[in-house]
Order: sequence, then C-alpha cells, then structure tokens
Amino acid sequence: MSIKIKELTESRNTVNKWMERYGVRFGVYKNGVFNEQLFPFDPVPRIIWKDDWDYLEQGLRQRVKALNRFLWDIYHDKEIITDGIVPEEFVYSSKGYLPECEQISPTGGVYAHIAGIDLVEGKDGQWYVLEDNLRIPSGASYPMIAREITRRVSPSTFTTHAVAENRDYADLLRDMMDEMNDNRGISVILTPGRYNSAYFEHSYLAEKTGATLVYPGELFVEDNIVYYTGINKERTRVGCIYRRVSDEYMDPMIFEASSLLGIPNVMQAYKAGNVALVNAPGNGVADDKGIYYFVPKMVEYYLDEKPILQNAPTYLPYFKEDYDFVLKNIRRLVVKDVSEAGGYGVVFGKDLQEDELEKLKSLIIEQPRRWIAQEVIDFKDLEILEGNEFVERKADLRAFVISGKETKVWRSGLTRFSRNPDSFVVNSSQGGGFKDTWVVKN
Amino acid sequence: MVKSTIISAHKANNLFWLGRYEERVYITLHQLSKCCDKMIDGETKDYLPIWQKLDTQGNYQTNDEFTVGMMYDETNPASILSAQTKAMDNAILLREEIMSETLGYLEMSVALLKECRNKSERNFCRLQPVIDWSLAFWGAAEQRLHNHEALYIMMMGRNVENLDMLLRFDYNHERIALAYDSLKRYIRQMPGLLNEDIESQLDDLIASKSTKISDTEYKNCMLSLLNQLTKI
Amino acid sequence: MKRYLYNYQTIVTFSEAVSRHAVMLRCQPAVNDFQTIEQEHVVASPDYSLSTGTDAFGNRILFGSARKPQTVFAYVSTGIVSTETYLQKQCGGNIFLYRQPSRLTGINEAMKAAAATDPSMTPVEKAEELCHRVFNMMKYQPETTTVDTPASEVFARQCGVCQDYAHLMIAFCRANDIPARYVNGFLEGTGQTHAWVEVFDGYIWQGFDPTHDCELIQQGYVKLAHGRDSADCPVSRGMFCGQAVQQTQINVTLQEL
Repeated sequence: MSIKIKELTESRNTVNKWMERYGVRFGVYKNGVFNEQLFPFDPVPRIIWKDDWDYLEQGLRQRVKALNRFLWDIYHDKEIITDGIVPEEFVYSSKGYLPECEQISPTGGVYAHIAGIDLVEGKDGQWYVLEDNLRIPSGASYPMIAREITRRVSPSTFTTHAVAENRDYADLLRDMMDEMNDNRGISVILTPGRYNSAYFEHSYLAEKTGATLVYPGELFVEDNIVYYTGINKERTRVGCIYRRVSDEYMDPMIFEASSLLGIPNVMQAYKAGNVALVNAPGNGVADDKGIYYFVPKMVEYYLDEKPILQNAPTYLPYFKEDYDFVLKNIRRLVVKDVSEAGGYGVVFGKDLQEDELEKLKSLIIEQPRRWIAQEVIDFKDLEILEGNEFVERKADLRAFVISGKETKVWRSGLTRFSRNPDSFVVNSSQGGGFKDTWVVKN
Repeated sequence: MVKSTIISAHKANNLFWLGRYEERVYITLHQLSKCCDKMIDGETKDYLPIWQKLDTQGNYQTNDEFTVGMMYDETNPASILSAQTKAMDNAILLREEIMSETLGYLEMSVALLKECRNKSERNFCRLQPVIDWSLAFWGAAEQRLHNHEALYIMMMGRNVENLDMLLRFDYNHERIALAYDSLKRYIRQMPGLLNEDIESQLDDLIASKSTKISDTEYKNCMLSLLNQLTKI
Repeated sequence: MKRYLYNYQTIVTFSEAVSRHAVMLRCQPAVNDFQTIEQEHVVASPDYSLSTGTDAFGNRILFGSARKPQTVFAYVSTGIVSTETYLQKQCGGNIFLYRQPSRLTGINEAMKAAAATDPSMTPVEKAEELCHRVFNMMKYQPETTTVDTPASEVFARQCGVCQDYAHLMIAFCRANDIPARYVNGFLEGTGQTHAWVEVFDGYIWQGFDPTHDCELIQQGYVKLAHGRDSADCPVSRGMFCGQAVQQTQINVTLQEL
C-alpha cells in the first residue's frame, strides 16, 4: 500500500506560511547572541505502519516502566546494585545522580513522567534505541502543530489515509498532570523564559493543556507549600509543576546557589509530598550514557520480561571482555565520553588519524569507566524534499512516553533529519529540520 | 485540571503594554496615511503639523525618507515596525492567554513589515493588511480571552494609548472626553490597579475643559497624569 | 566526657526591605556517636516560618521563609552539648559519594603528584601524612579566597582559610581513594565557625584539622554538619527578591563547662 502525499508536498509553501503565522520557532545562541528561527519543516511524513508501531509501542512502554522502576530503586533500596546487575560506580559517579533525592517518593513511583526515547531504524528494518531522555525532553509540540496545519492545508490527504491523531498529546499531558496533582492546586509549566531554545514549546503546551505558564520568580514556598501570586497579591496553591528548568537550577537552597531560575526550598515541599515535580529531579542517573548499557538488563531484572527494544550494540571497557574488544576494534566503533564535563564528546573511530586513535586508546586504558563504545548503525535514510527534488537524509525518531497512573505512548513522534547529506547528526541546533510522524493503519 | 484565574504582575505588565503598542501601531498607521495623502499633491504647510507630531525627533529631511523611516526604521521607536515589534515582544509571552490564533495576526504583521522593508516598499497601501490584522487581533482577543481580567488590562492599555495619541495629535475636547470615558469603563473593572488620586485629578481636568490653562500646559499635564493612572 | 555551652548568633541586615527571604540553616550541633545534646534552643525573627528537616547528608536543617518584607533576619542557636572522643561509626549510607571529586575538590595532575603516599601505609596513616602536608604547604591568609574557591586554586596559591585547608586535604585523600568529607562546626576559643575533615578508615570516621596540624581530633570540636565539600553544608544559605545589599554579623561562643 502506498501513501499519496503529492497534494501535501505541493502545498509546502502554504504550510510554511502557516508555520510562520503560528511562530513555530526555536532559539539558537550563536556567539552569545540569541536568535530565533523557524524550525524547517519537511512535508514528507515519516510513515510507521500500525503493526510496526504496535511493536514499538509495547517496547517503549516496557522500557520506560523499567526505567521508572530503576529510578525508584536507586533512590530507595538499591537492590539492582546489591544484586550486582549495575555496578555502584556507574550510578554514583553519574552527574545525574542526586543524593538530595534519596528516599523521596514521588506520587505513583513515577520519575520519568515524560520520556523522550530516541530511536533509529536500521537498514535491516530493526529499530534501535540510541538514547533515553528522561530529564526535560522537548520536541512534541512540533509534530502537534504540524499536524494541525497540514490537516487544514491538505484535508484530502487525511481523508484518504487513516493517520492516527497526534494532537491528543496535550490531553495525555493534562491527564498525567492531574493524576500527579495530589493536592488539587493549580498546574503550571515553569519556563526559564523566552530566551530558552524551546520557549515556543513551553508556551504552546501551556495553551493546549490549560496549565499556567510561569516564569522564574513567580512561584514561592511558604510553610512548605508552593504558591503562585497575582498582581493584587492574591495567591493560589500550586499542585503540579511541569518544569522546563534543569535539576541544578531548581532549588538554589540546595543546588546551584546562584540560580535565579529556581524556587527556593521547593525540594523540601516536594519531599514532603506537597507538590509534584514533572519530571522528577535526579532522573539524569537513568539516562546517563554509561547506564544506557544496562537498560535491557533492567527490563529483565524489574519486569522479568525479555526486552522488546534493542540498544545499539554497546561495549563497556569497564568490563574486561569489552575492554579487549574495544581496543581491538576501535576503528569501526563510535566512542562516547560518559563524563559529560570531560568534553571529549562523540568520536567515530574511522574519522581518526593514527596518532589520534592511539591517544584515544591510551585514554580508555587509563580510565575505562569513562567510555562507552558502540557499533555504528547503518540506519535507513528518509526522503526529504529539497527544492523540487526528493533526496535521502539521515533521520531519527523521538518517541514520547507519558507515565501517570499508566504508561502511555503517544502515537506520533518527532522525526528529525540532517540537512547535510554526510552528517549523522540530526540535531535541530545544527541546521536540521523536522517531519511529522504518522502512524497509519495498514 | 484546576485552572488559575490569577494574573501575575509580570503578565499584567505584558497585557497592558501589548494593548498600548498594538493601539500605537494602528493610530500611527492612520496618521501616517493622512500625512501621506497630503504629501501627494499638497503644500508643505498642509502636512507639516502631522509630520512634526509623528517625527518628534526630527529624524527625516525628505518626504521619501520620512515615509520609509516612519514605516520601517527600527532605530526610530515611533516607527510602525518598532511599535509592532514591541507589541509582538509582549504578545509572545502571552500565547497561552490570548491563544495562538490571536498571536498569529501579530506574527503576520511583523513578517509583512519586514518583507516590505527588505523590498524597500514605498507604497503605503501595501501595509493595509497590518491595519486589517490589527482589527482582527482585537476581535480575536475579545473572543478568545477567557480570563476577563486579562482582557480588561489589555483594554486599559489600548485606551490609555488611544487617549495619549489623541492628546498628542491635538484632537478636540469632545473626542478626548469620550476616550477618557471609554478608558474609565475598563479601569472601573480593576479597582486594585487604579491610582485613585490621579483619577480624581484627571476627572477635574477633563471637567475644566482647559479654560483655565494654556493648551500646551493642559496637554502635558494630562499626558503626565495619564501615564500614572494605573499601577502597572 | 566534656560539656560545652555553645552560642551561635547571626544578624543579617539588608540595606532596604527584601521580600520572600528564604533561608536554610544548619546551625544546630549534630547528634551522633560522640555528641549528645543536653539542651538546645533556636530563636529566630518571628516573621519567619521555619520547619525542621534532614538534608541529603543526614544533617539537621531548619528551613523556611519570611511572611512579609524584611530588613533584618536574626537568629540564635544555643544550648549545652556533651562530647566523647571524636569517632563516628558508619551505618548504611553511601560512602561512594565521599570517594570521588566534588565541585570544590577537583584534582589535577600536579595535585595528584603532591598527594602521592606510600602504598604500604594504612588509610589513617596516609590521612595523617596528608594532613601534615597540607598544613606545611599552606599559609593562613584570610581574604585571599572566597567561599567558591576550588581546591585546585588553593593548591596553586597555597594560601587561604580553614575551608581551603579542608578542601585541599579532602582532594588529596580522595586522590588516594580514601573517603573524606568536609565538616563545619565550632572550635573552642576561635569566636567563629571552623572547618575540618573527616576521613573514613573502612569502619569509622575520624577527625583531622589541617588548619591546626591536628591529626586525629580527640575533643574540643563541636560538629554541625558534613558534606562532600563546603557547598553541601553551609551554616546558612539565603535568597531574596530585591536589590538590597546584605551585611552579616556572626558571633560564636564555645565554652567548656
């Protein structure tokens, strides 16, 4: 069965006009200057057939459930460490592990309320998870608004094909926030401000969920309760904060003291169960590059199930067997620095000169724990429309999983592509664009 | 979801200034169009009074410089593009209050103004959509702003700006009194934001019909009081 | 056993009224194997609502905020504490945290070289050696460093105050894979708060004071709180809205009874 998108690609200019009208932008800092640009949209959707999607959905749900169980365990009994599945140094030396979150029990045991799981489809048709984003993953608003616009511009396309609705993302989010909001206060989205690269998304999600968009300095804690105040000094209790501010800036009383983005003493209110924080602080320990290796093992350990989704084949030089393998095969692998502050980043063995390769090897020998190595996946290219021509480019998929009382997978996702034909990097800040993701009935 | 009806000080400020700047766009376009009409075939003395009120800093020498500058000069805070950008800067912080549909009219206006600037478009008539969208914006805001207090604050800004502009352009007393009446309709809805002392002084001034003081003095006094009337 | 009367008093004044002043205090002596509280009182400005709690490192905290704009925040923490020999058993908890560099105790190659010890020594012997080394290396010089000066900078300049001595010794210990943590508290006869180091020998935590070349502290130190470095356990931290300039006056008395 084929998908007819001619009308859609032909109305590309109209679609772009609408994108401009709605201000679908993201911010970029270049040499310290803030600039907003339109997020380039490619009208050719990524198609995922319903059958394939069902498999992905099951796998994603399973993975996120396990990750939430892991986070609970790490901040409580640490059985997975005691049982020798994950070595303690991988947990405690992770920058994302926050001792301040020890023994805190968020509602329903949910830590990663919004998980953005980055996947790629290999040429063999196999999906691989590249990264779990459990802190403040962004991007869902783009396919949402793209759908709003493309349905309007080309209604017949959506009459012809049974594309699963994706504008219900706001409902998923709202329901989840309501479920987390034990105290029936108001729900808010906390944005660092208009000069954050994802500000469009913060304000759009606030509009669509009905949550109040709040800025740093507008929330405060008194008697261990979080309040929002108005112009006439009236105040109202806050029950749930979907915060788009990173952990280290959330509470200047215990994290980064100079932070003006946070809410003093909010961690105490959170600890007392007086406010829900979405996502929970401390999640960075579970989406750490080093911990990634252990996620399939978590699925087996916590759920007693076989992992449905695969990781990209990954080696940890920390283990002797992998150490030997990595040193021997480094040329064909991609090596990632786990200690984020280190700044070595991501290196493809094949791109390195002989002396650079030797240097990398010596670094691995010196600190095996600091590195992971992966097979380079030959992933499937997607068609994009460039000028009047269809060309193939690398693309990934960020799937969104929302966990409240239940774990639900959003039937769409952000497909990002690289505009540079030689690049594997699909980052939007590096000139990439996005596509809508269609889940279509066969 | 429990919805908050509270308006933070921050948002009130944005709403008020959005109202002011959007009204400034509209009135500046109106005055500029009057001026441009007279420049087609009129004498300098016919259009100089409006020119001077629009170009208070005396930035421009020729008719052409004046027209283009008043439309697009971003370094001139009185230009249409400047006012529209300022309106946008406030509106962008209010998406969830005014809704994307409403915000869209301002996005389109900014984009059109920039496009015209880049093409050095001199024909004033090309900016007609900015006028249309401004009115559409107000209509949409009234329809979609579910929080009435937010709407009142924005209308306060709009009416303060309207009165301010009428004073600057020397409208007659009757028009000024009507505009003041209209402003008070909204201010009465938000008593907490009103400086009552200033209000009573303004009431007196309006009632006195400028019989006692010279026009310039009267005007400046009104303008200064007007800008202190609200606590925003 | 020794008994002490302690009195810790702080007055923070603001040049103009500030709103939403939020505070977190660690101004009460720790309760542990070697410290028992006989009496304690905390008195703070009445317009503040304060709650008690425990932080991530097991320290007692008082936290809260002002209900109205304030120009002054004052509090006194006073009482009687009795101490035994300075030793603390480790039960549960996470030793790993104290084994790796933290923000203010990062290490570089030169520091690693300066921290090298004879591998045949026990952890306590190593710590004694490192405590001594830090004392000899450093010159006590107030106002040459700030609360945010990391150990690497202290090492380069070789001067500072008790906090800097402690950070440097901690960095050295951790370079030897010995768990070490930062402690603040009161020391008899100083009139201010003091900082020292606790080192874990595999069973118990013991005190070292590199500022006074004191290996294996016995008595005379009253502990308030500990953490990975000073940023984890300041005696007080505050945040407020406003442009005011803040002045702080601190008075500490520790008197043996």
